[in-house]
Amino acid sequence: MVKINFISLCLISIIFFSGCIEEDDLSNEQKYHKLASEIMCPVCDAQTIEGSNSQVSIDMKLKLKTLVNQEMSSQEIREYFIDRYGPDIIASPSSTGFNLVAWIMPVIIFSLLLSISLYTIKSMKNSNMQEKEYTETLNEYLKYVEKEIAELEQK
Amino acid sequence: MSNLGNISLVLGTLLCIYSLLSVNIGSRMKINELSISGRNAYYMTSVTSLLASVTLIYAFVNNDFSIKYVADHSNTIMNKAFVWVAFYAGNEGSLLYILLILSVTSSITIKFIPKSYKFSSIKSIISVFSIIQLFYLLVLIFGANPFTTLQNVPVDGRGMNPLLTHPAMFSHPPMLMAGLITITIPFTICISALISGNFTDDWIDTARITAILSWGILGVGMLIGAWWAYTILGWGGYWGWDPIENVALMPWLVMTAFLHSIMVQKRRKMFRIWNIVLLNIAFVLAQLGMFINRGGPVVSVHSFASSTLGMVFLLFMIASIIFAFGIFLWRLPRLKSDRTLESFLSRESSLLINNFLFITVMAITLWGVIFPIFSDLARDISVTVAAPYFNRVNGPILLVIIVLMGIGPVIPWRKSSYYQIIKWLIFPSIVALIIFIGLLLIGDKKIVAMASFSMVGFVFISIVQQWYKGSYSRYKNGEKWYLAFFKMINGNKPRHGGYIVHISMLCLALGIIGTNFYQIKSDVALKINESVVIDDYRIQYDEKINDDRSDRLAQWANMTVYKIDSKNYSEKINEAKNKGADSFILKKEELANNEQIIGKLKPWHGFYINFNMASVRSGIKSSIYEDLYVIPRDFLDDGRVSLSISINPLAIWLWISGPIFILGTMIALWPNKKLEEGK
Repeated sequence: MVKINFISLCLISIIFFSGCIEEDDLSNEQKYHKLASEIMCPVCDAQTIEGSNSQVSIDMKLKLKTLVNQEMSSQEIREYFIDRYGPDIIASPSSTGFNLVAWIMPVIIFSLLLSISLYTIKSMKNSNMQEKEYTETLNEYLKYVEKEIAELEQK
Repeated sequence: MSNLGNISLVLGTLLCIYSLLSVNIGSRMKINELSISGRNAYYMTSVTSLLASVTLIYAFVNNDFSIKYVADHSNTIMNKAFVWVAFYAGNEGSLLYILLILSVTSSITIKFIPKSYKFSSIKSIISVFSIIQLFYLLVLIFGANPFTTLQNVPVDGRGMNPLLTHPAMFSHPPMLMAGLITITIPFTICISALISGNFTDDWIDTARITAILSWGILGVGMLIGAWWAYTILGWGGYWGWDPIENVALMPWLVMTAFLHSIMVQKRRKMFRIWNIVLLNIAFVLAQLGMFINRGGPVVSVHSFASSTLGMVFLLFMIASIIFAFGIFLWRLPRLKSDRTLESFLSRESSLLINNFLFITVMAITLWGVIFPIFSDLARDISVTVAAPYFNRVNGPILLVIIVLMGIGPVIPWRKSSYYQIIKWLIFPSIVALIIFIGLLLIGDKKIVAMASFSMVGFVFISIVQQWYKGSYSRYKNGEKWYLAFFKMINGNKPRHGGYIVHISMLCLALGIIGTNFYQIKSDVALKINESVVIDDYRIQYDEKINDDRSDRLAQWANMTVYKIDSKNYSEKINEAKNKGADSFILKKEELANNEQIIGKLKPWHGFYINFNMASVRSGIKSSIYEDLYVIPRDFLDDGRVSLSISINPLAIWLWISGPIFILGTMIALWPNKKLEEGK
């Protein structure tokens, strides 16, 4: 069981940490494109401003370009757009307040399902052990019976 | 014409009711002829739905605009080849298409069901199929009738949605819908075995084969959709984690889990209960897809089939949950595995972990789809959950699934030892390490991407190693190496077909890693004869060609792509870099001499008047290393064209995975002749 716990701990930590890595070594142009694909177009159905050709998106992209060139950080730029268009302008929920639920739930789902499957493996294995024990005792008993019968027959 | 269509639908309904009643009454009262006539009546439903479909197609071919559906989705100038696409272009037609696929595939299934099946099982199968078909028939007749007529017949139709006028649309929507609806077949086979009290494993072979088919079709359908989305603007690239994409992916993930765990039941008679649960979940998720697609409460870019029928499909989904899990719980006490797990280090438990990971991705995706609704209801604040969220939460788990693809298959059934497994993994691990160090040496800094590449290498070598060891003994006995290889594959087709599918997933992973981590994008506006330099390419804007047709105003931006020597432009490159840009514009007089032409691009931008909708088609220059991808966003008044350009590393591997996936699926499906003869 120690091994299983160790493996699952490794698995969880790998997943958790690789999910947290944010690589932000980007040129301004790439930073602009990355943010453009995180900001929703307010008048389109489920499109980002990156993919949309609507006038609003074109204006927002111009603004975004200016902000990126002013060396604002990605987070500041996100907040700039949230202030003006509301929280649903960003393509993923923020990691504060109620929205934290959106981010915590995957961790809960993962841990819960992992525990269930490990528990299943463990209990399936245990019942196998019990069965083995049972057959062993049975075999011993049968041997004993056979021995008794043999003895009786000899008599 | 519309009368014939309506009559076919009504006839289909009557046949369904008849077959439902007669197989049940026939078997209860032991009147064999009645049961058989019920089964034949079920076969006839495929004829009536075919007749209804042909009627609709005929109306399209003859421009019968008295039928509303025809007038809404075609016009006189539409290329007749697109009639097939127009058939399922809207809600009503696509439902009729779904009915057609359901009735035909279910009839074929009943016809070819193994002779060992008792009639009591077949009776339940026919009953369940009839009820599901009846639902679609009633929806078609009363809710979304494709044969509704117009009182004022228009001179011409509205035409087809311009997004659908693409070669991929001949196969993407029909395959996707067929894949989703045919999940019904393995589900019905499984649930009917439970209803009829057949607790043997008779059903698993038929369920496995039909499940692979529906899973394969759904997978290919999704991939073709991804290719389509890649070539046009506005759909967030090849995969956008759009709600409609997610609801197709979720059942596919569950079916993937099922195809793995059914092997355990086949070989070791374990996981019986779990396999039934998986099929139930897949079926319910397919119904969820129907609901979300046809009027669900989420916003999507796929709005072709949206309707006011959301509530109807929601109720049907709830009914399927109650039905599927009700039957399951009723029969649960009599379901038991024959064997138990012998060791944690066994193929069985590694497949259980595989299932756990697939279900986790599915559950997290489902959570992402419903969270906006949840947030709206809970506090009246709307949030968006889109690609960045899903990439972050699902990405790492998908990577673990890939790693497990290299480890799982080397673990033997029943039990094993660490030593045994590590022995198999040493060589793949060394290769993975070499890849990682190699990438580090050439100056790569993206740790996650590097680790992902190493893992792809790890799995690939692990599979090749198994093939090598498997065919080596034959080779040693004097057989030619390729014969040895084919004989090995032939010896265990499900297993090696599975490995080939694994390789296709590695190709897919290459494309995903390349495009997600190493993509370079740039927006520029070019005058004629100006060029833009990005990476090692120079793209010259040669000419603009107007191509106005009666349905659209289109403009082509013809371009030539040159391979450049970056030394010639080092000054300009540095200048751009200092400005934070990854591309720069060159005038004609600034060009270096003798640059080699490597291709021509002809992307276009069209505006469809009837739909007040723009449709933009990209120009792509592919190689096995990267795609040069150009999309004309707009033609400006000053004569310039505004372009979005990107370099998409390894993108072609996304599409290479498709044929490999099909090959693997077909090998896994190919019947084992020898085995049957042996029986």
